[in-house]
Amino acid sequence: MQFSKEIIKGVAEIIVLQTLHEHGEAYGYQLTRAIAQTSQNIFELQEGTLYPLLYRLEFKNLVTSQVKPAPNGKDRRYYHITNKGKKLLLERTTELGILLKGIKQVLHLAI
Amino acid sequence: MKSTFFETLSRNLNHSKYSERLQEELAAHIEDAVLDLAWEGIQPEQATQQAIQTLGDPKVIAREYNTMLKQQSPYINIITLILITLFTTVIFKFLPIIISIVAGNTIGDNPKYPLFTISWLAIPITAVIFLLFFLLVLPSLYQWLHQSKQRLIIYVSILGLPSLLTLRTIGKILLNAYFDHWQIIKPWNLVLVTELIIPMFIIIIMGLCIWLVIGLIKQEEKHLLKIKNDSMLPTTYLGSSCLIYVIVSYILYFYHVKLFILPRSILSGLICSIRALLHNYNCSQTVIIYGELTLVVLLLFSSSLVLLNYYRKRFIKKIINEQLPWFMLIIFIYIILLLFT
Repeated sequence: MQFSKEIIKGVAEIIVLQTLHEHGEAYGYQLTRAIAQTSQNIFELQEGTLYPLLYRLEFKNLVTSQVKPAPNGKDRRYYHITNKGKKLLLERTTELGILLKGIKQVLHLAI
Repeated sequence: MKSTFFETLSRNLNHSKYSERLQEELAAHIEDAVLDLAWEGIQPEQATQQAIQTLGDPKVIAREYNTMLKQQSPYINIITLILITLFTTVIFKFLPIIISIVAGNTIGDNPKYPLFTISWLAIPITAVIFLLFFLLVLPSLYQWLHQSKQRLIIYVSILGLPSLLTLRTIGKILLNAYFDHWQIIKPWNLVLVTELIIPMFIIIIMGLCIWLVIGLIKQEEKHLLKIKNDSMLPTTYLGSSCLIYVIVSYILYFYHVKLFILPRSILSGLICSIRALLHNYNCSQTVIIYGELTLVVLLLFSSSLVLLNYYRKRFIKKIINEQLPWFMLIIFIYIILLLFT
């Protein structure tokens, strides 16, 4: 499903952080597969834009990265969530939960 | 298709060390996706095509990436720049003097101000450290800043000032050693205040004022000014400030008003001292003016790049990539001619 850009931008960082938190570590391609799988293909991101997003998270010290061999033997850059990232993830998840609850009530959604 | 994708991406990216990393990671992404699709029985060519399609439009990726670069915290950059400026200033301003004190073997002894006697050893050592710093340390620091298009400004306008002030000091010391009529050098604490702290203070204050004024104007008259880039960097303000400072200083100098501390005799000081060593030649005013004009041209060139940067990004990229080496070569030949003719 295609969402508007504004909605995607707001939640993309949280989704990436959450996926990294669940998987411990992942490289770009793994992340896109994991997000697609977990969200049951609801989030059809342009996969290429994931990398600038990861760099932004890295600049903010929310994730770190390290190049090491993947199971196929080739070098891949693995991303890890930092403690700062975990803290932010918790805050944003709580905020998002409250927001969703509010939206649900206002729009009388049955989700 | 793959090469077209990367060509389009590369053309639209603001280059930095992260742009190379982005391209590497995208290539790895395609490779992994193709392998996965091959497992599903899709032919390699079709799989590559499909993998590239899922990555999305390269222009959109480049835009996201460029936006990400612009959103870097300006505070990190400004603090880093101040630290680098202070570091280079301290190192290159006082290194020759420190080496001289340690070496003890001095020329041009000045009993009144012993700190300003200098060893022959100090000149080559400082020159080597100076070169190493510019070739090895600065690019790394610069990469940390992640601002490729600001490279010239960082080098010329910000870091250039303290470094050139150092050359000036060396030039002055050498000239003082050889020519009695050269102006009497000042005690070190006065030099520190008048040639370093005050100019830097003025430049930083001016930079902040420009930042504030342009920020306010941008808010009010954004469309009128046709400013396309919202995130002007602190380096730009400091660079512009440095340029204005130099221009105002020169104007005042030519009217014999020495209100500002004049960052003059920097290149000319060096050129004169080398000429003096080579030809036993007394520096004429003409040579000094030529040397200073070179500096002004360099500063004007770098600042015009900054100003144009807001309006014609690609044009600037083209200049930096294609024209800059030629420009630098001309400047180099010009300096060499000044030295040997």
